Amino acid sequence: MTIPDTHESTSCITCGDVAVVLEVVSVDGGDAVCRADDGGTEVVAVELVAPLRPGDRVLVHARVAIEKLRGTA
Amino acid sequence: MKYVDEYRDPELAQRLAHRIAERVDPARRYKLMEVCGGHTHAIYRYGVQDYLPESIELVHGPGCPVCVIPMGRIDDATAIAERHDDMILTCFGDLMRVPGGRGSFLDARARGADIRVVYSPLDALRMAVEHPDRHVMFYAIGFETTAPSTALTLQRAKTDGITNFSVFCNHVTIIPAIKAILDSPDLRLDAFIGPGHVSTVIGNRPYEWIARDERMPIVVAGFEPLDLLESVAMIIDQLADGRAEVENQYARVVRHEGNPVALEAIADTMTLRPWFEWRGLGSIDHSALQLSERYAEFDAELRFDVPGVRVADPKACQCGEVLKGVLKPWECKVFGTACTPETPIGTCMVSSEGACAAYYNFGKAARQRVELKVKAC
Repeated sequence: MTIPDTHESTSCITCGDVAVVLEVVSVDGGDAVCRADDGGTEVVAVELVAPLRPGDRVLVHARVAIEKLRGTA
Repeated sequence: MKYVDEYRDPELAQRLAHRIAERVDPARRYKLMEVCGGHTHAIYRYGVQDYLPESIELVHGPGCPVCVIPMGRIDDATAIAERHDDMILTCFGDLMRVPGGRGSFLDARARGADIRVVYSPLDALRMAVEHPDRHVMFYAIGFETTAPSTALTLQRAKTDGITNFSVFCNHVTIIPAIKAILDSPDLRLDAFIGPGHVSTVIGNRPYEWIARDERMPIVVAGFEPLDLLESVAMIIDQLADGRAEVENQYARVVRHEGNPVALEAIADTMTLRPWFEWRGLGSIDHSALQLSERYAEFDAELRFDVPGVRVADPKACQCGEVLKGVLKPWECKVFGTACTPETPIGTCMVSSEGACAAYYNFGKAARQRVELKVKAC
């Protein structure tokens, strides 16, 4: 199995069937600040998976959370 | 990496490979189709095929939304952008290099059109707010994974009363594409690896007819190497047991019912088109989405004159056969020579999720293995 040395993503993030798991840092109305595994943060629309709390993990596609995760993912 | 490394463990991969090898029928050949570009990409990036017996062939279906866009839809959006001086056309990055009949969006930008890459339709909406003197049109594309983000953006645009924003909608739906594949006389399949993130939105129910009517297993799978190997093992188990069921390998993310709120947002803002042309598959009834009447004010196809360009694919390009899984990418006459990721002729070579680009970037080992096998015969 070919495991790349780093976990960088070379796939099409935006338009394909690709999504990333982020952790919710804070929620403000329909948006939430979410943190990636590398520490980077971004504002994500979370109306489709509300309600959320800090620490929840969400599957994010094109800056919109499409699912709240259970267990490890 | 947290939540990822446990799905890339080589020892576990070996165990799954043994489980698969033990259950395959040595007298049988298996064709499993994945209908998700993310799976295609992962299979060749991680060399998943190398862990499978020779008798199992992974066939790549029409799962990359960029790859199935007909050239005319690129030309239509380009025409709108070039005819309106105040227009900002926005799109995802992969679309910029997709060739249309009059060149790509990059070519149109070089001619003077204002075409910009966004990461999300929400970024396009924000651009409209920041440029009230301009019109911002978003080129929407993608399967049910991406449609919720467009839907949410439209709902916010309506709530906020944004009037200088529209959507050129090219969203497609996966089930009609699977039906078209199964109706194709060119291909015999044994099972499907179901799309993971599309299923996050639509759930598992829409696949039940595949197991019930076609007597064919389908396993919804995640995107890590062990996810894919386990999904193949689950399929082989079903075939060995004579079962045909919908199973969910990606249960840590996909719920049986999908995401009802996302589905409601799509139903609120979009409706099925009577038909839509897919590159390689032709016209498929009820296979794509257009904006609903409630959101007609944001529908670029109603606000602007759309030429309705139809362009035949270049003769040398065999994307159609590749998208149906009839040809392997390297069997296309122009693969890797006239058609490369730097100079794509067909859409399958544009997106990193396209079967041709995935093979080009990661599939050398698989290609060499097949070539050696052919020589040995």
